[in-house]
Amino acid sequence: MIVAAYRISPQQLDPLAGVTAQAFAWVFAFAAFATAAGLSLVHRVEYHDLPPLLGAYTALAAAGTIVILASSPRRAPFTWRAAGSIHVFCLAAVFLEAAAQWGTNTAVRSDWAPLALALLVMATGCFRPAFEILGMTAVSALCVAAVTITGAAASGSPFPPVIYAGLTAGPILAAGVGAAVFSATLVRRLLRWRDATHGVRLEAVERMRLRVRDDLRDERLTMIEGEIGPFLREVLALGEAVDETAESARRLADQLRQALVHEADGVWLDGIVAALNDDAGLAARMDETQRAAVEAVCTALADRHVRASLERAGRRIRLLLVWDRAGRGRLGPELQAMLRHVFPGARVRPAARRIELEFDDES
Amino acid sequence: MSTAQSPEVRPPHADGTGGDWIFPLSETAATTRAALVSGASALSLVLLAVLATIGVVFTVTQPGSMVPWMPLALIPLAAGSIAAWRWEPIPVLGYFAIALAAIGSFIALTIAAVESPAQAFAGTAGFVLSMTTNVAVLMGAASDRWTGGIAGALGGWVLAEGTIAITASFVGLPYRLDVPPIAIALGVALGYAVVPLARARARSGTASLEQADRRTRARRLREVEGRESIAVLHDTLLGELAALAVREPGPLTDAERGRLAASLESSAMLPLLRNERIPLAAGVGAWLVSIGAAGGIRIKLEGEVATLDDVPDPAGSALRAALEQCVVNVARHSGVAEAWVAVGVSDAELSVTVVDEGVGFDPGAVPHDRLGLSESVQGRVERCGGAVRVWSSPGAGTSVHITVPLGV
Repeated sequence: MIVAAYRISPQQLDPLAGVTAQAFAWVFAFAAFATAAGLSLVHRVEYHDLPPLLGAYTALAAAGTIVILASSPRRAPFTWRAAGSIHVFCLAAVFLEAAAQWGTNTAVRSDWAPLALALLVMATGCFRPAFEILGMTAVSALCVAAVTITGAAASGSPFPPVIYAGLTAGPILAAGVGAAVFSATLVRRLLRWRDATHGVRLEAVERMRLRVRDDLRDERLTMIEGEIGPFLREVLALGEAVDETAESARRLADQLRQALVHEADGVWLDGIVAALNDDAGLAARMDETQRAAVEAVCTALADRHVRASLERAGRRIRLLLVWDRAGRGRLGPELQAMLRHVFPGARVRPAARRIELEFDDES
Repeated sequence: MSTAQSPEVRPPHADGTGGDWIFPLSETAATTRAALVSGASALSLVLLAVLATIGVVFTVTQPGSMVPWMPLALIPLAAGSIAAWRWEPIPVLGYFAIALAAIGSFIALTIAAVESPAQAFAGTAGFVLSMTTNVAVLMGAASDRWTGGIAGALGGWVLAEGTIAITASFVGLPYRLDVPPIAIALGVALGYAVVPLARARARSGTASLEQADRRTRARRLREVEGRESIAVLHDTLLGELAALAVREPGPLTDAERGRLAASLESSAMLPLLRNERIPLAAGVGAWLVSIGAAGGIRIKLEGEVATLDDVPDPAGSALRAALEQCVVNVARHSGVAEAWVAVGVSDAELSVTVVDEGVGFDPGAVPHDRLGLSESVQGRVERCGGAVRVWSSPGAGTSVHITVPLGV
C-alpha cells in the first residue's frame, strides 16, 4: 500500500476530490499571478529588458491556464502531460525572467518565477501521484538552481551562488515535497477506506442478492402457477396426453416463451431515458459502474427529456446523450468529473446539452 | 475522442461489491484535513532543512557572515512542526510546549540575524526570519484542531511576528514589515475557510451517485439472476410444453413422467435460486451420455473429458447446464442418432465442442423467441466469462464450440 500511495493519484481513487481541488487550482493560479505582478512592481529597477519579461509573463499565463483547464471537471482527469507542461512553461518563465534582469539581479528573493512555479506545483497535489510530483519538482528545482547560480555569478553577488540557488530552488523543492505528501496521504487513506469497507460492501451485496432472489422466485412462481404448473401436474396425474393436451401445451408454451423473451430483451437504459435508440442492445455491454454513472446523469437531468443512442465505433461502443434546454436539473461538476473518470475521454458539453462517451465492447 | 483506457477505470468487482468509486462525504473532512496537515508539515520541514543547509554553507564558505549556531535554532521549530503533525490529540499543555518551542526558536533566530552580517542588513525581513515565519504559519494551521486551521494560521503568524518584533526591539535589529508571510498567513487561512465550501460543492451529488450505484447494482443482480432462471425455465417447463405440443395423444412413458416431474420440481423451486448444484455423481461426461440416451442419441466423448468435473463454479455449473442443453438440442432437432463431445484444455481455458452431422440450421435465421441457444447456452456461458461459437448450415450438421476460462 505504501508504494501504491506514491504511484496512484488521489483523483484516480476519488474523482470528486478533484472537483474540490478545482477551487484551489484557481486560487494557486491567481496567487502565482499576484506574486509575479507584486514582485515585478516592487523590484522593477532590477528588470532592464522588457521583451524577456513579457515573455516570462506569457509563459506564466500559459502555465496558469493549463492549471485551470486541466483541473476542470469536464476535462478530468488532470494528466501527467498537463503537469509536465506546467513545469516546462514555468521553467521558461524562470529563464526569461533571469534574462530580463541578467547582471542586475541584486535581490534573488524577489524572483517571482520560482515562487510561481512553487505555487503551481502545490496545485497539482490533489491531482497527480506523489512520485511524479517529486520527480518533476526535483528536475525543475535543479534547473532553477542552475539558472540562479548562473545569474548570481553574472550579477557579481557578494555571497556564494549556491546560497542564492537554495533561496530560489528551496521553496520549489519544499512545495513539491508538500504536494507529494499531500497526494500520498490522500491516496493512503482512500486505499485504507476501501480495504476497511470491502467486507461491509460484500455483505450488502449478499443481502441485496437474497432480496433479489426472493423477489424473483415469487415472480417465477406466479408466472408458473397460474396455468402451466396446474396443467403439467394434471397431465402427470392423468399419466397420458389426451386430445386437448397438445393444443393447451402449445398455447402455454407460446405464452411462456413470450414472457421470457420480453424479459430477456429488456434493456436497463430503457426505463431511465425518455427515448432510447439501441437496436443492437449495446447498453447491456456497460459494466455496473458505467451504468451507475450514466444513471446518475440521467436522474439529474430527468426533467429535461434525455435521449440516448448507442452505436458501434470500431471495437468500442459510443453512447450519445442529449437533452432539452427546458426543464429542471443540471449536469453538476461532480457528475462531469465522474463521467470523465468512468469513461476516460468522454466529451462532456453541458452548454451544448450533449455528452458523447465510449466504452469497451468486451463484456 | 481519446479511446485510450486510462488506469482511472477500475475493473468491475468479481464479487459485485463495487461502490468504492464514491468516497463518502462523512470521510472526506478528516481525510482532507490529514492530507493538508501532512503536506504543510512536510513543506515546513523541507524549508527548515534548506535554511539549515544555507546556514552551514554560509559558515563554511564565508565564516563570520552568519552565526554558526543558526541551524541549531531551527530545531525547536522542526520539533514543533512534527508535533503539530503527529501529536493527536494535542493536550493544552502540548500547545504551550509547541508555542514555547516556536517562541524560543524565533528569539534565537532574531539574535542570530542581528549577529549575522548576511542577515542584519535586511532587518527583520531577512530570508531566515521570513521563511521561518512561514513555517510558523503552517505549524499553527496544522496544530489547530478547532477552527480547521484558520485561527492557527493567523495565530502562528502573530506569534512569530510578535516574537521577532519584541526581540528585535531589545537586540537592536531594525523592524521591517515582511509582506510575504502576511500574504501566506491570509492565504492559508482563506484556503482552510474555503475547503468546506469547495467540498460541499464537489460532494453535492454524492447522495445521488450512491443511490444510482445501489439501484444499478440491484438491477444488474436482478438481470443476471433473472436470465439464469430464464435459462432454467427454458430447459425445463418450456421444453416439456414444447414436447407435449407435438406429441400424439397416449400414455406417458416412464421417462416422460420422470422428466415432467423433475421439471415441475426444478422450475417450482428453481435450483439456481437455492444455490443448489445438479448432482453429478458419475461425472459430467456420464451425465451427458445419459441425457443423450434418454433422447435417443449416442454421445461419444473425446479428449480430456475428466476435466469437465474439475471446473469450479460458477463456470462449472454454467458449462454443465449449457452442455446439457446442447445435447438436448441435438436430440430434438438434429435428426441423427449420434453426436460427439470433444474436450480440450489449454493453460487459461477449457474448450468443449459438441458436433452432430444432422440437419443443421441457419444460425442467422433462428427466430428471436428461441431461447435455447441464446439463453440456455450462450447467455449462461457468457455470464461466467466464457464464449460460444456456432457453426451450422442446413444439411451440414452443427458444431457448438464453448470456451470457459479456467480458475473462474
